[in-house]
Amino acid sequence: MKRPILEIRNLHARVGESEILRGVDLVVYPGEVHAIMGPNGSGKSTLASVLAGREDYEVTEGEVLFDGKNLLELSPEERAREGLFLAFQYPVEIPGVSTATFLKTALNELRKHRGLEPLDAMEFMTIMRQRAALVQIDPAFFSRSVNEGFSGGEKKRNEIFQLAMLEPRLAILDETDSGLDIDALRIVADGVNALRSPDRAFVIITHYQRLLNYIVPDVVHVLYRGRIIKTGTKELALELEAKGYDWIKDTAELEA
Amino acid sequence: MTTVVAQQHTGAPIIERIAGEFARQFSTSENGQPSLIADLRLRALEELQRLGIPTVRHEEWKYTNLFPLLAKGFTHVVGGAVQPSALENMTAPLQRWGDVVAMYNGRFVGSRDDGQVLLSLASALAADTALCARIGSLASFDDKAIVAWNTAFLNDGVVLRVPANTTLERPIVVASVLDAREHNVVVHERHFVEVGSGGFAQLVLVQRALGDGESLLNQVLEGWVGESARLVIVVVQDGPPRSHALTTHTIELAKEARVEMITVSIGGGFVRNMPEVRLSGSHADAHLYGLTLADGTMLVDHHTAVEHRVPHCTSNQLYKAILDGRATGVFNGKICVYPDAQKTSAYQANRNIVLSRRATIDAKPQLEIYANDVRCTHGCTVGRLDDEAMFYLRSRGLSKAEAEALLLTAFAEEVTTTIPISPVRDDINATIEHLLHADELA
Repeated sequence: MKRPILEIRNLHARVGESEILRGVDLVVYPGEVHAIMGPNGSGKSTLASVLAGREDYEVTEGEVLFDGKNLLELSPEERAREGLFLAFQYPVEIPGVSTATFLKTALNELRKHRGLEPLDAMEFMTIMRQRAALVQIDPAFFSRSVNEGFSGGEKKRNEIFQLAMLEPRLAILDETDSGLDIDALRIVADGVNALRSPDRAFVIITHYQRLLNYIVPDVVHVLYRGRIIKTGTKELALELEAKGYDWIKDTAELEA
Repeated sequence: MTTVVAQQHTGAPIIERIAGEFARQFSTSENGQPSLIADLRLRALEELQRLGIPTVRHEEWKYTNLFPLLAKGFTHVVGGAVQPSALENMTAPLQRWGDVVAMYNGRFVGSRDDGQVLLSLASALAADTALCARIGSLASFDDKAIVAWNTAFLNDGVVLRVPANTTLERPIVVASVLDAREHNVVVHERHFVEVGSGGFAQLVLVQRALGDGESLLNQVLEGWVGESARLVIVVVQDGPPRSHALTTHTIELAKEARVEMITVSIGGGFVRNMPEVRLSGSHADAHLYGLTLADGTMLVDHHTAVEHRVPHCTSNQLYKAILDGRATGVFNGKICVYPDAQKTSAYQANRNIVLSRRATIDAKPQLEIYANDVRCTHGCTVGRLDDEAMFYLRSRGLSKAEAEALLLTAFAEEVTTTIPISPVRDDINATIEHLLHADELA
C-alpha cells in the first residue's frame, strides 16, 4: 500500500479575524488527480495558499502531512524543495530577472536539496527547451523578465512550464483555467497530462468544470464554507455544472 | 532650568585652516604659473571665505551635513614621491576598462601626456592662455563653496581634447589615487574635457585609496560636447569607508550632442555627487543615471541639475538606491526649463529600497519650469522588497536571502545596463552581485 503524498486533517485557517477554512480533510495518493471545486469565497485559494506557505494566513487547528512530514513547520522554500509546487492564480511579474536565471537558480536549489550536482549551462538549456515545448513556449521567453508583459494565457503557460522544470511530487493548480481561452486551456491541459505520472499527484482548484474535460480527475471534491461537503467521481463535476452550486449549497444546509 | 546653547557651526576654524594651507602652498612660489590662474585661485578663496562651509541650514545641503566629514581634519596635498610599482599595482586591474591615466594626490603622473589629445592640466595651462580663460567658465564657483574650494587649490588634472569627427576607440580611465599613508588628505582635481563636433569619447573616473588614513577627493570636471558629439562618463565609487568624495561634473551640450553620465556609488564613506548638464543646443540629449548601494554608515548624495536652455532637448534621469544598515541616501534632482525652451522632454525617476529600519533616504525633486509647451515627469518611490515577488521566488525553492539578492540585483542592473563600456559594466555587476550575496551570509 502506497503512503499518501498529502494528508490534511481538520485544517482550520484564518486571515485576520475571519475563519476561512473550517475543518478540511483531504487525502491524496501519488498518481492521483484531485479536483477541488466550489463557489467563490468557499476557501479554495486559501487552501492553496496555506499549503504553499503564504504568511498572511494563520492555521488555528489541524495538521497537514506532506509525504509523512509536518508541512506546516516548513518555510515556503523548504516545501518547494520537498516537492510541493503551486501554480499561482496570479503569477507575479518580476522585472529584471530573466526566466532562465530564475529557473536555473530554482532548479539548482532543488537539485542541491536532492544531493545532485548543479546543472551546467548546456544541460540546463537542453532541459529548458524540451520542457518549454510541452506548453508551446517560445525559447525567446527565456531571456525575458519573469512574467513581465506576458498575457494572461502566457503567464499560466509559464506556470506549467515551471512545473515541468521543477518536477514536483505534488502540484497544486490554483484556478489555472481562469482567464484562458479554449486554445490556451487545451495547451495547459495537454502540458499537465504529459506530466502525470504514478509518482506525482495533482490538486486542481477550479470554479468551472471546463478544465476537467481536458484533465480528467480521479476524485472531485466540493469545498463550501471552508469544508469539503461532497466527494465523488468526475461525474460530480458534470452534475455541478448542470445544476449549479445552489444545488450543493442547499444540500449542505440541509445536512448542517 | 538648563540653558540650551545653540551649537555654532560656522565652519570658521575650517576656513581658517584652509586659508592657512592656501598661503603655505601658493604664496611662496607662483613661478611658472600663469597669473590668470593665480588670480582665479585668489578670487575662489575669497568666495569660499565669504560663503563659509555650507551648513544644513543651506537649502542645497539640507540633508547632507559636511561637518562630521570635515571634522576629521584633512591636510591639503599635491603630488609627492611615490613608488611607480605602488601606482602600477593599483591601476593595473583597470587596464581592462581602457587606457589608464593615474592622478597621484591630484598630480598627473606617467607618460600619457601626448601634448595633443590627452594632456596634464598643469602643462596645458602653462602653454595655452585661452584654456586658462575657460577654466571655471562652466563650473562657476559663485555661491558654490565646494567648487570655490577646488578652484582655490587648482593645480592639475586631465585635459582631454577630442578633435572633430574623431572617435576614441578605448575609454580613458582616470584613476585618482589618494595617498593617506601618513595623514588624512584632501586632494583637489580639475579636469577639462572637450569633444569636437561629431566626436566620441568615453571617460571612466575611479578613486583609489592608499594607506589607512582618511582621504577626500574634491573633483571638478568641466566638459563641452560639440555638435552631434557624444560623451560617456562613468563614475565608479567603490572605495573603502575611509575614502570620501565630492564631485562636481558640469557638462554643456551643443546642438544634437549627447551625454551619458552613469554614477555607481557602491563604496566609500561620504559621497556627494553634483552632476550638472546644460542643454544649450537644440536636440541635445542628456542621460543621467545613478546607483547607490550603501551599508554601514555610508552617506551617498546625488544632487543633480539639468538645465534646458533651448527648445527641443531631452533629458532623462534615473537614480536608484538600495540602503541597508545605518546608511543615508539623498537624491535632489533639479530640472530647470528656461522660458524659451519649448518642446522640452524631461524625465526623472528616483527609486529606493530601504532594507533596514535605521537606513534613511531623503528625496526631493525640484522642477523649475518657465516654458509652457513641455513634457516633464518625475516620480519617486521608497519601499521595501515586494512581498509577492519574494513569496513567488521562495515558493520555487529559493531561500529568502537568495530571493532577496536576485530581486536586488535586478533592481540595480536597471542602472548598470546603461553603462556602454562592457568590461566596466561586467566588473561592476560582478561586484554588486558579490556585495548582495555577501550580505546573505551575514
